[in-house]
Amino acid sequence: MHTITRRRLRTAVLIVAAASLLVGVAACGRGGSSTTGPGEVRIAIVTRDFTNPYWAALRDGAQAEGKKQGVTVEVQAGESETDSTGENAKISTLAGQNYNCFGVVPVNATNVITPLVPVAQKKIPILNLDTQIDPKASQQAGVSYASFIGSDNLSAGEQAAAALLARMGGHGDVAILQGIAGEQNGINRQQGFSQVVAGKLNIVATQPADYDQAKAQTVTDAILKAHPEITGIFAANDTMGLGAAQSVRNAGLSGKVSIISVDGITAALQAVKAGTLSGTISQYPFAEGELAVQACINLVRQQTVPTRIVAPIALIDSSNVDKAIAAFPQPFVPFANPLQPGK
Amino acid sequence: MVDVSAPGRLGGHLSVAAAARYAAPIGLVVVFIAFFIATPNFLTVGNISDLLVSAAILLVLAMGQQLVVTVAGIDLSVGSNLPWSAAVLGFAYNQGWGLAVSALLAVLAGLAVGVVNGLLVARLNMTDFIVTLGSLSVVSGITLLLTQGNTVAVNSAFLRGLALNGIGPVRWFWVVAFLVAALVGFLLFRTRTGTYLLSTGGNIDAAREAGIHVNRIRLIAYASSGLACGLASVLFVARTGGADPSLQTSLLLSSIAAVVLGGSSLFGGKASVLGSVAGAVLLQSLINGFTLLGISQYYQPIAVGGVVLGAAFISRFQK
Repeated sequence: MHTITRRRLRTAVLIVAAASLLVGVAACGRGGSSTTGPGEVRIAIVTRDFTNPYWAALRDGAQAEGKKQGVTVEVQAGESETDSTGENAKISTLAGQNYNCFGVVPVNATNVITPLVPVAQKKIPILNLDTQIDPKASQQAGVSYASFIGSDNLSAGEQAAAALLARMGGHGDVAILQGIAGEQNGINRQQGFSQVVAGKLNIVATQPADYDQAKAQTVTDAILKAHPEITGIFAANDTMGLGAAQSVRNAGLSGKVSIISVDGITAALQAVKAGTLSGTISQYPFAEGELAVQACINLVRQQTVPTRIVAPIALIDSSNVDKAIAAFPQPFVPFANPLQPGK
Repeated sequence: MVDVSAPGRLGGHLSVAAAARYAAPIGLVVVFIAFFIATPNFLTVGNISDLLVSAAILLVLAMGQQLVVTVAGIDLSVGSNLPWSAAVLGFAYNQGWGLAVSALLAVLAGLAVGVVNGLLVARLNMTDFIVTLGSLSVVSGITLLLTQGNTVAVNSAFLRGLALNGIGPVRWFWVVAFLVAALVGFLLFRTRTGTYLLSTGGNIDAAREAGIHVNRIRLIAYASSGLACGLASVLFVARTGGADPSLQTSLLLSSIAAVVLGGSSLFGGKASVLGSVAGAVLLQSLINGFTLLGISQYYQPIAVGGVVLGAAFISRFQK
């Protein structure tokens, strides 16, 4: 027993010694072998996850723009919409590398601030993308953002409300599918929606479905049973809108219940074309990714960037869905880009 | 496999068993070497320092899970106990009760969940899997009620310092993780309670007949896991600057994977603290290395799962 314990201890010591030797060798030999050349732009963008097509589109936009402009763009993400520590670890890993501009979509208002402190201390510009990071906490941590690039989610909710009002004839009962509890974009969309429909539509159910298609379907099944008289559903994102559409179709209520969601992902555009989804307030994550790269290039080249860049949004319904699909992933409406794309 | 006991093959068999025992540390070294060859940015002081900080929360959770697995149990409530403890910290801090009191309350909140799990499993003899699956859900709901579904910001310069600074190059997160691991190692292999934990996990009936209070021992295991969640929640809040009420399923699954990678048996009675530590660091290294190499996000779960499956395969040779 005693000898086994000692042997185990010895093995452990050996392993630790070998590992630390490797680190030592690396520190002398290979660390810092790649440095940023003058004028070279190396952009790191970190978002929540790539399982949501919305963030995948942001990634694709950023990478496409990077290729076009001939700059290095690395896009990384956590595992899920709520993986705050996973995203956090990605940022701190990339912060140790020689990127000279960061773009970050936070999971919540605070989760990315701490790993961004070393970035801010190195005076590397940081862009806040899509979802607002707590300005007060950032300021106290000494982190500031060169610009906020994102859609106006309050306005997206308002446009969704206007579209649903028009389809429902200005009256009737409506249900709301909420996103993940506490997620700011979802809260803003709901707030915008509720403000516009107040006094006109009767909100009979407000249930969270966590931005999840399967969950949205289950929740909508239950809502339709409890409130069979509803004629409208507002879903805070497209995946939930698709779940609701499936539920409505299963209940044989197609055409009787209008559904409006937000995001404009490909599957939602196809559902609008097929008529299962009444409409989607399309945001342009692809454009957001492009804007982020353009802003970074300007910042690295010491050019000014507006402190707030609002990405375009538009209602897509049966009248314009073909145009939207043809233009995808670019906006089909003209958009005045405030950034002069770097040469 | 018939000639396993033949004298000529004995040496070979022994070394396979030894390799199986140290699967996680060996795997860790292999992964380090692979990433070292693949990128000059992996094995640098800065990156390894960051990697170990990133692994600290998982490591503390894995230490709690280790104790539960040792008694042949499993703690699924980790996924919600962590955000729950963090939410208690956030709530108390925003009530103006000060950081020390808030952190203490968070640790106690985690412990409380562990104790309830332990009582249900040990005293009422309910199935561990179901009990902790149930508390995963219940605690998650209570957390949502406490926070009203919102992220609670905890804006503390001290906690930020905890996440970013240290004594010279030694980061505070490592210190916490090392102390927790050392404590669990000491408890398991140097105390009578540890022997009881191992024998309860190995054969609960034999342990009971030998006069061990198996109920109390199992309660200790679950309570310790809760305590670990409470401690980890302080690190969690320090790192993310607030309490997020959402479930932390990836940390839950990784905590179990780290323990299994480390060579502990899910059937209990066999524990390896060094293995679990190596397992946790190994899982984090994979993610870190892949991030540096810019390998698509979609391959990362495959690699992590492949490593766990590989460990399960190697442990077949462990006797």
